[in-house]
Amino acid sequence: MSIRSIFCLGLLLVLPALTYAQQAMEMYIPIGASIGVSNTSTIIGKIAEVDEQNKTFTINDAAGTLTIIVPDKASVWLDHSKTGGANQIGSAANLKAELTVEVKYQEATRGPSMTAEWIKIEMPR
Amino acid sequence: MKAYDLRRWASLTGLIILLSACETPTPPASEPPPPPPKQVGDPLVIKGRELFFKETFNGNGRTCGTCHREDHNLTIDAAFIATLPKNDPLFVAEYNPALAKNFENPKLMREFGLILENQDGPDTFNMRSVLHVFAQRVTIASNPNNRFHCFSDTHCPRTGWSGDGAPGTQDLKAFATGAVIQHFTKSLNRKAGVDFRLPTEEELIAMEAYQLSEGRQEELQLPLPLKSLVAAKGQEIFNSPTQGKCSFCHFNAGANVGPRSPLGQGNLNFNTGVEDLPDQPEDLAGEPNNHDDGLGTPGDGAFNTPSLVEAADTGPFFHNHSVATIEGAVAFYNGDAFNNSTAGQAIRGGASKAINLDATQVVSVAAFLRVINALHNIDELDDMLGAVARNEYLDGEHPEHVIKRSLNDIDDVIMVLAGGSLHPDAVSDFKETRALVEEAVQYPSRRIKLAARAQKVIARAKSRIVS
Repeated sequence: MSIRSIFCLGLLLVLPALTYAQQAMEMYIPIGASIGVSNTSTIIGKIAEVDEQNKTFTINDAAGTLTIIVPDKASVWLDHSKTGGANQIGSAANLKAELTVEVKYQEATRGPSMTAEWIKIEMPR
Repeated sequence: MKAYDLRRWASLTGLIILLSACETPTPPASEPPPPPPKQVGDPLVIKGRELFFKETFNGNGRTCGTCHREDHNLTIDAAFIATLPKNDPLFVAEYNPALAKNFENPKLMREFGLILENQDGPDTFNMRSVLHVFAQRVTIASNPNNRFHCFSDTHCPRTGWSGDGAPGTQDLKAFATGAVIQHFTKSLNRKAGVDFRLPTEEELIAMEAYQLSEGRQEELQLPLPLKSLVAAKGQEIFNSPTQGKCSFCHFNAGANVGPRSPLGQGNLNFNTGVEDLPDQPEDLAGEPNNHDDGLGTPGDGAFNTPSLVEAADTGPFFHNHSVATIEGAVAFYNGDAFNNSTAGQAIRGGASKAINLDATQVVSVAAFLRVINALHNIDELDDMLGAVARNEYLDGEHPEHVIKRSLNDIDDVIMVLAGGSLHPDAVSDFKETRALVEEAVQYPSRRIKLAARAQKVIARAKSRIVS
């Protein structure tokens, strides 16, 4: 195999490695019910404050207050478990103070500031 | 009575006596039935198998086994679908009004064996074939360093046709959760607790254990000492870095790249251009073709590498069943779709085309794939017939059912070998095996002995295929 082939083949692998997996069915799993993820790689708590300009919000959970960064590619889903309706795709505009959310963070461990991979918002009755 | 008539009468009587002394297929009424089978095996696998084939999760009636049929190589295709009754849960979209739109495409399901998947979200869909679930222990793990997403430093499976088929922890365990939401729902609201129930962690662990127990538990070690000259030549081309180049992505005819490969490690994704083939199933059927973009949202066009050992009897091929025969699947790599694809360009080197096989070479590589598939079926049959001969349950399956199911694998191996004009002597052995198994099915009292005899015949068949 030529060096060029090896380079190209290596490139083939890098490209997929940079993408995110689809999580289409994740949006239908109620807050706190994602086995192996909920409360392991997620934070569940109430939104304290939303900073639309900086695309962040703060969340209070049992361990204290955290800042959540919401990148444009983060998925936002509306969890209608309490309303009885179907879960929906939402957006950062649905993030409001006092709403309960589950945030899947990208970082390996929890810190004072976390980057959201996906957010589920519990829609009130 | 004349002497001539007496002689004829005596001959006829003698013949009747002789015939009555021959072994008849009907056992004497006094022949005792086999004793109750012994329950052996891993309880977790047994539980997982039970869940996989029987649990509906309070949904629309489907189970995992609705699409991953135990009597059809843990998959389905159009020919098999045509044998199912109208009320089979596979056709739930045809008789449940709540699922009549956007849940399945009955035309594409019946014509091409394709299933609807909302892999990029609820507002879009693609049609994909059903992957078998054999050999997942050795075919779905990717290198953590190449992972696109992983919840573990050591255990990063790629699931489904684009390698990203599972929500949650995105591993094989979580795959079942995604499948229940996608395929088991009573309505498109997909409301947990209403349209289905989510599997528990214990259930997911058991189903994962069952799936990992199915099929090969280790990789083949190529080259094999094959006796067919054509298949042996095909193996040579398959492994050649300048001709077939197949082993770049299918090392040992599995689903992984080879050790020290510049590609990375384990089971990987590639864009091979299948979506660029002319005459896609959706187009032929006049149905919407949303262009499947593979891994990610939006996708990068890459699909996950399947194992080839199990390929020959699980066609049609590729993620959209676009190619019906194993020879056609090999020939795909000669065509423009592959050679112009990202993967094709990457392995082209200095040649004008990445892969350029002549007709005899295509047939040889396909013959090799047919033969290794036959060997895989022989191993499966040996497990099944061995369990019956020992009068044991096989992962919770009663020997009476196991022996019936073994007929499918026997038919597969006959089809796979005869379809390539390969090993007519072994094909005769498998026909003999079939007769023994049919008798064992018909007469349970003989099941144990006949299974042991059938095992010997398939061992003989194997010795004709490989040294």
